[in-house]
Amino acid sequence: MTERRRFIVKAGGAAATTVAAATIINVPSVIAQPKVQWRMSTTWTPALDLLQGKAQRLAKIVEETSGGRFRIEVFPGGQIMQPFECFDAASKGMIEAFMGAPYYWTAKESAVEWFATIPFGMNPQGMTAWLYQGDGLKLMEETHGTFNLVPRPGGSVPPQMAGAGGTAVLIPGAEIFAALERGVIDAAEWSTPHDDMKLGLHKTARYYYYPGWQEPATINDFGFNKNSYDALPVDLRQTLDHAAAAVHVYGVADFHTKNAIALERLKTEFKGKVEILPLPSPVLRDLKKLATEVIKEESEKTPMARKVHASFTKFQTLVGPWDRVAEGAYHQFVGGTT
Amino acid sequence: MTGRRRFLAKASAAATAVAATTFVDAPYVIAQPKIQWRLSTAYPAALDQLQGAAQRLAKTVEEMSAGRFRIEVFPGGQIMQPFECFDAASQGKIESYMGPAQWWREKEPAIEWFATIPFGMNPQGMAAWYYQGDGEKLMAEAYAPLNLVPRPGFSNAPQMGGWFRKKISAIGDFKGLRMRIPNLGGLVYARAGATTVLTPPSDIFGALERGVLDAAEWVGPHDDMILGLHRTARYYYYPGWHEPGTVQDFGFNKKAYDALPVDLRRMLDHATAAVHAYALSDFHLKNATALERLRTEFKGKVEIVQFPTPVLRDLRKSAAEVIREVSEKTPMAKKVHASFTKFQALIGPWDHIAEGAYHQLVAG
Repeated sequence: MTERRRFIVKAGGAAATTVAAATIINVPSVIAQPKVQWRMSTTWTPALDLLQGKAQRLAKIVEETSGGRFRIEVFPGGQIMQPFECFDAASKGMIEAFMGAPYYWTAKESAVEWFATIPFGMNPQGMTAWLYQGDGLKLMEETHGTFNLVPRPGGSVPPQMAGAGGTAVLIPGAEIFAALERGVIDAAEWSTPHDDMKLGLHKTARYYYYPGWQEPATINDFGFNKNSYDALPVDLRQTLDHAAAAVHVYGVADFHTKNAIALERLKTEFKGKVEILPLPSPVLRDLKKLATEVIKEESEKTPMARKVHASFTKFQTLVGPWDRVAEGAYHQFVGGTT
Repeated sequence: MTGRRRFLAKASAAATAVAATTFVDAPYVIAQPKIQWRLSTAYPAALDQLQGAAQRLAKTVEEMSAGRFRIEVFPGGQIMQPFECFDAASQGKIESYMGPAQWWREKEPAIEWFATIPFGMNPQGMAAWYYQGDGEKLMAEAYAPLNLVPRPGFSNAPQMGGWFRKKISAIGDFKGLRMRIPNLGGLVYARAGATTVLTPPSDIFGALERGVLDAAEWVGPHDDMILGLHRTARYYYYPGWHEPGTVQDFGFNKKAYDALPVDLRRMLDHATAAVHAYALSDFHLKNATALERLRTEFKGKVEIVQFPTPVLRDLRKSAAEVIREVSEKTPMAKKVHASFTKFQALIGPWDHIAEGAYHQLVAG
């Protein structure tokens, strides 16, 4: 008995007849299926399991839903290339895909800042709405497109924790710890409790500040070499797109849970060693003023940055009041009294 | 030149490194059954955000499968009554349904927790419980006796508190109030002395208009305005304490699901997660736009008011009692309640620091 015949017998015999009747409307259609193998390099070290995990999750989803036709081999930063080289490598076609965070690529185009997060910008819900329902993704495609890349939002990191420091230092995650310990920088911010503890930051500084005004919702980016993406059969292209959206959801859930656990550990295991504090309101007010100036300056650097800034600002103004009514009021009551 | 050869030629014209790694194999041929499903929802077509999410699932699955797997989506009332879709999928008359889990609570009280509970978790917390906690596993367990494979669809939350013809300033103001509100939230209002009813969405407007109802909740600005509720009652209250994280569920007939090839099963699973991202962001934007309309076009006609804190405090006390009572109804409800409560206790402090502080200090 052929595979196909067994399938029909199984469906017709065992299942409810109404289902069986509706399920098979056609004989199998035969399609030639190329096997596609891609390589993706990320900006993360393997220790950053949440971030690296999102890249691996994308690969897994694509493989599962394509019946193994499409495989993406995922490498952490440092294995086949340096962490920050992955953008250029995908852009030039040395690899097919990268994963990182848009603001790592600001030297190429200032506009990418807005696709990651901006100080006092939107939270994850707002960012997701801008990207998927507003102009966000379209503008991101336009921006990354000039580098021969097809970008997809790859999930968001929740409002991060805050850190203090006069000069902003952009260094890969693993080096923050060493720099902090050497006293090269007075304070550091990386991400959220789970990731920060992976880097050992809680062993170096006593005060752990919130809210992460500087990164209220950091979006990660997947980037695909445009030629590679265009060469995919259309169903695999769509599979990649939808898989990125699914990763967005799984990734946020993962961050939410693991950070709750890490915060709980900080409050118990590291009680007396780490203090978790809100930044004083006047400090935040001053920072907001400074942030507005900085963002305005950045937005004037390129025509693309100006365009993206305008779209972002308009969207934030629209969703802000709803966010306050729907989410803010609930947080205030439930969070404030439990 | 054959299609395949053109394909290769095009790829090798691109960066050589890509061409070298892209094709590890010659095309192979798989027999692909074509599958057609039917999905009926619990919603009228006019509710575009909700109905749209079901259509989005169908579109996602069709695109990912290159048309091998098609789901025809019907609004409630077209091939069956809205509330019948759950039983129909359970019995195999259709392969799938979409609706709010809380409408099936009579089958199993545990189902309430899969939708939302008063003063429960927000959408972020619900998603974390489902995908990282025990939520999805427990949901599968609760639905299995009903011959269904459930998947969390997406959140249409946080919701609003509802429309009231009179202002609420103390818990006593709920006494004698006739309100449209389902489920646990309804039980809490009943405890405060209100009479609660479950009016179907299409009848809420008329009932409020005629004064048969004094208050009604549906969803949020976008959906409520589609039903015309803003033209009947003046006071629009928030926060929606009774439905802070409402999750819609997709349910698949178990035999139909099991008969799918494994890649299509996974496709369906991941597509529901993708729909979560698309539909929640759709909900967010549509409500922001609708709220803006309420504040401008309907200025002077509608007042958007926050429930006073002491009222919320009293409601929360009653809610805790109601939830405990319902959780004791079945062993499954007890189990789900325990998992939910433990997860919320874990997530709460982080949520407070990460999101709460953002709302209070950054956005405010």
